[in-house]
Amino acid sequence: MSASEDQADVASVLGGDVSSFDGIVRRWQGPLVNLAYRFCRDRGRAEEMAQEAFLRAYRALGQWRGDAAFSTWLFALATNLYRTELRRIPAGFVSLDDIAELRDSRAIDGGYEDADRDRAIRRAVLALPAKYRDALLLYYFHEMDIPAAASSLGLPEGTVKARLSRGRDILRNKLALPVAQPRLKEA
Amino acid sequence: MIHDELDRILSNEEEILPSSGFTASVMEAVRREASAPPAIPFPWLRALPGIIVAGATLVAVAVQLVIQLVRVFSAPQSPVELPSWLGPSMWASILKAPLGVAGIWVTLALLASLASLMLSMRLTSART
Repeated sequence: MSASEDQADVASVLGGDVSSFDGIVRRWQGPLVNLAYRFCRDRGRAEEMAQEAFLRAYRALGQWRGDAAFSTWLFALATNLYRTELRRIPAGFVSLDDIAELRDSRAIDGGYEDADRDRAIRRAVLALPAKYRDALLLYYFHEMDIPAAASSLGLPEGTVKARLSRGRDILRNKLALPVAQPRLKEA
Repeated sequence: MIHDELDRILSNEEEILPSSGFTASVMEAVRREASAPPAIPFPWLRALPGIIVAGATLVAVAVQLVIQLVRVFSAPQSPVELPSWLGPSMWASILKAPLGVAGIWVTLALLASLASLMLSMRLTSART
């Protein structure tokens, strides 16, 4: 994804050519829909949330100063919107206790598929308190890049690291997953 | 970098593709937004005098209330005294006033409401 293309499209839209926004939508629809999906686990709702994010980006396009990458600005705007949306209408999630029960039943009959368990664990992230949930979602969305997650959340990297650590501890304790060496990618 | 079980699960996220009509849907919403007239800004300049008067009145009432409460609680033995303008004499004078006087007040109130309504309608029509 080219930063210069973003810059050119933004300049063109601000100059009055609304159709140039099409290029921005095409380039960023995948990431924005996928980020929304991680927040709500519902395809239809994810597209609605992403559409609203694009609309807000269009309205606020003049506020992007170009000092940060367009993607950073766009993800921060979208993240803010998605968090607000989730506060307004919470996503249906699997509670941490339900996951623990699934783990136990798997241990007994061995019939619980790994793929199902993995899906359930991803949904269980949504059951975490919002500050840990957001840190985890953004960290893994940005392929374990703490600075990128911190930029999207508008938080200092240290705060994100602390929240990640706490969120992962809660998940591990509930799911009885093994603890590995510290593995957070440093800035 | 060592990945544990949790990292493996949360990193291997299934990617979803936006539906085929997504871009068109977003662009339609954006074009609608672009063609919509700009929102009418709140007329702060016109509203400012009213806001100041309302604020000052509120503060004056609050101060009076606090003063009265302090008086009442500082002298619990003495009976509560209402200010003269709010005392029984005020109610008596209202009740004893001839019907004509009440009528004048009602008419004045109605005229004030009408003037306020007409002014607001005139301001609105001047903007559109």
